[in-house]
Amino acid sequence: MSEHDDIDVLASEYVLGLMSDADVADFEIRVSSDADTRRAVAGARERLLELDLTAPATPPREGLWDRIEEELDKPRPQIVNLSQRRLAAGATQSRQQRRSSFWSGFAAAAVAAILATSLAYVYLKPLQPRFIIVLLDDQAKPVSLVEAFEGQKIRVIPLDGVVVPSGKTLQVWTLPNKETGPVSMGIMDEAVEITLQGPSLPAPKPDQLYEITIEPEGGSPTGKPTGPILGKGFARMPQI
Amino acid sequence: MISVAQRIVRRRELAEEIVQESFIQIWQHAATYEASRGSALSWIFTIVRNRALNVVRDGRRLDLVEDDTLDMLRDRDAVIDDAFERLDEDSRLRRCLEGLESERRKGVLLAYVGGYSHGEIAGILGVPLGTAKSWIRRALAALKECMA
Repeated sequence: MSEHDDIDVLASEYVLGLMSDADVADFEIRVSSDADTRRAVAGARERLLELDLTAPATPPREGLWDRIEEELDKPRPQIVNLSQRRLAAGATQSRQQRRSSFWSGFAAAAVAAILATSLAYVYLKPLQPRFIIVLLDDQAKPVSLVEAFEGQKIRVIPLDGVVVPSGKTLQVWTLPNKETGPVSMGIMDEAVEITLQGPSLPAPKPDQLYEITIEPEGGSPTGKPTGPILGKGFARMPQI
Repeated sequence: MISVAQRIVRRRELAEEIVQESFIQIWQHAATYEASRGSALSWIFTIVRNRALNVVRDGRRLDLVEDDTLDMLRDRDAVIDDAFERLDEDSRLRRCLEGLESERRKGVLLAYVGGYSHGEIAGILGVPLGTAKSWIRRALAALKECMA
């Protein structure tokens, strides 16, 4: 097969942005109707993705987040696929519903730390978190986000696929320093978004460890983690 | 995300605008994302890159660069080389790119990282348009084989 027709080469050219506008139009029809073409495009994207990941994460300049939030808060119709049409009709969709349909699309993201960090920042109102923590399991898959606010308040946002085994409780810990060891920020019986008030502690620091463990019902009996780690991560300033 | 856009459009404030618009697009279309199209992360970067490409198309690239020609050339090569150099030592992509002839590798990187067109790449490499196209095609085929 000449390279001219090879689907993988075409897909790669498409992903590289080298196709003419006319060819792009035809190719996109092919992408939407043919699974092999879709696979070829996905493959080409994944092959080259690492180049994008080498781009340095830079903190946005003053005002960018404000402008993004302003734009996102404007009532606007959500573009949904057929299977979710019943959920969305536009501005009447609740924040919770928008958020869960948003995140359900991203449940498969293997390395979503950058994205999760920057998008979690969008859900800030009214308080601005000082840090975002993306908790990853041992497969480096995101399991939960944590937003750390002033005064030891944290908002825990478990991602799709997290379930609390029956008879167990999730417990959130942070490690302010090695001397004190892990300190409990609170417990969760269900994998739903929750705001927890931690005990009096020094303000969180960059790279401070947060983790969620699976404890017996009611939380750890010892005041320290006893169960397996669901996910852990390190505090970061939001950067895109 | 800002740096990916900036590699193409060069100007920081333009890159931020692109990222702002990308967030809105991501937000609006999140429910239509399908894993069959690739990972969520690649979907996001595709949106950013496509917006950046739209900005530099139609010959608008020259409007974005105020520096004299020599600086611009140095800058362009530096950005492309930097992206390649930053790839992990153990990365398969790196090894496979290293396996390409340097001009063909450069062609692929100019396109993906810098957002240059076939015509621009032919000019930069100093070869006819047809040669640039076939070099890149062959490099992409080789890359796919190598990484399979």
